[in-house]
Amino acid sequence: MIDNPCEWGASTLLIFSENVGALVYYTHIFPLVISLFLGFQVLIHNPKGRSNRVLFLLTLVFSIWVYFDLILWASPTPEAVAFFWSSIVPIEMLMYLLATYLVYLFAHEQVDAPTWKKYAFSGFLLPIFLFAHTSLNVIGISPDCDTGAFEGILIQYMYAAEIVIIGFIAYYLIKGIKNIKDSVKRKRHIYISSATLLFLCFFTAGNLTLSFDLGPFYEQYKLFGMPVFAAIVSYSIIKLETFRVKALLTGVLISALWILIFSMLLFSDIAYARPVILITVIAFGFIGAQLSKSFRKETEQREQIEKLAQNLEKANMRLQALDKQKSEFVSIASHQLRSPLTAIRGYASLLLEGNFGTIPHKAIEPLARIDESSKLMAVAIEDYLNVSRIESGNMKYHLADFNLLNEVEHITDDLRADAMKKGLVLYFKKSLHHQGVINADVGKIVQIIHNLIDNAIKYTPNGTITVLVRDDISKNKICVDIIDSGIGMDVETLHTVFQKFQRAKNADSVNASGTGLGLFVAVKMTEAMGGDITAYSDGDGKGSRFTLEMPLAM
Amino acid sequence: MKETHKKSSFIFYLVLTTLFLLTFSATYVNLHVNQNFKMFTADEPEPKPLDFYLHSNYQEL
Repeated sequence: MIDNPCEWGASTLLIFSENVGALVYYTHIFPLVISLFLGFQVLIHNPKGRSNRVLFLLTLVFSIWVYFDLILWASPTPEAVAFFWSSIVPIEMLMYLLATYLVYLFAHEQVDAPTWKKYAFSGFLLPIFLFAHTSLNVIGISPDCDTGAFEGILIQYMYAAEIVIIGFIAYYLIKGIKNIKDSVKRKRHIYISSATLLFLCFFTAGNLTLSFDLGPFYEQYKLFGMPVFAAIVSYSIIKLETFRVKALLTGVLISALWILIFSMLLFSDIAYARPVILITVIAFGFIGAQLSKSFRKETEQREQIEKLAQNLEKANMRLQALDKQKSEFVSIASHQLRSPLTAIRGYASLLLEGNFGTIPHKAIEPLARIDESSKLMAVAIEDYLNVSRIESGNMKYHLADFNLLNEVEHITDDLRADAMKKGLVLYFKKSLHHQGVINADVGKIVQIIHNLIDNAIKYTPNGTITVLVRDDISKNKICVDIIDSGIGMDVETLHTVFQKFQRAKNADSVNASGTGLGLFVAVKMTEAMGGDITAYSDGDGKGSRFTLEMPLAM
Repeated sequence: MKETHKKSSFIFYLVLTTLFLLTFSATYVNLHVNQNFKMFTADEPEPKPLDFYLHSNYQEL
């Protein structure tokens, strides 16, 4: 152990010593805190962003540099000075390389540099790796405790390398401005790369003051490049959402900056540094005001959006209430219509059957029309009621296992007479590898298939209708195809045919009546039971195929 | 392509970190442990880097 040549005692935590003036602590600890605060904020809020990681590393390496520099100020032992003085050289070089990488990423819109470029730039480090531990780095230690070490040629090399790297950064700054087309990305690049350039220029200028023997006083201010860098980066975060960090956090950062700087004015033992701090406060005051302004603007916008969202929510709730009222109204109205209609249908039927005596011949046709129209009206009312139930969520399904094949066959047989009246041939076919048992509401399924076959009869002026029951074992499904040679549908109709109140454009050509609700009700009920209905047609006049798919019972 | 880039980048960072660690270790052993540096005395002239390497007692260090 070499004897302590200095008069002062050992330092605490390597950096706190009676020999070190308040100015040194101010110029070191303030940028160190700001740097780490910024680095961690940017990393925590987007740890996967490449530029976020690089910025964090840059601030971390800068903080290590600052800490080592403070050790050099505070340490009284020559071997510690020799080690930390030598070690600060690779750290400083790494800081410059990370800064270059950060600018590169912004200049190339966050596209990573090829590995060969990384090796090429790391070439700057090679002499440092080789000679950092030798006397080419630190020649020796001065007996004068204020001077420290005598620097070797490696440090002159480092200063030269720093100037070359600054040249590269300036080149990437200009290249990015020229090449980036997106205006926001270009602005981000300008802010971050200029701030980085400024930070390194401050740093190198501070280094050069030492080389020109201007004394350690001016060198102290080289670290102020970091707070300026942090302020510009924060401004860029607020204004352009750089690094994808939320603006609120930047507001916190600015507040921290203010408190930290302002508190420095309260220390009486740094009176000689007061003008410098005052200038810093004014500079930050200006930047802070700009930041606050843009932060306030953003807050106002956010409040407006929140207000609009609340209004929308209220409007939506009101709409839902209105929709419910409408459904209830339709339900009540339909129920009230159904009762008198049942009486009309019943009496018309009884009259036609001769239960009230012989009907005059002239009255038979009007009575038949009353009977037929009241049947159509009953179907329409049933559709409205079903829509109302579906939309209000009150449709009840009584699920049970039953044989779909048998049901389809019965419905086809029932409707065959209607088809024959129109001169149509209604076929029933099956292709099953299974019994065809499904778990569903039998009444609803009958209603759906009845509706589909009835539609096929209505919209087929001549030709055939085929009802095919088939199964798909691999998908565990049973399908009922209703294939007709009727009026068909164009592509537009195919897209809207299952919507409410939608009817085929060419429906009038076959004089078919309907509410446009039948298919809507059918598809909603099928979906509620775990199935689906699809429609296919080659076009107008080329027939249609409707397929009901239901899962087979387990 | 992306995977290859990831792999080569990883190797690059591994090499760089190793070299840094080696540099710091060598510096620590040479300067802090072995104290292999010159202590100037008060009456010695301040060395100029180039003069030092060309003419001075470099070998003695």
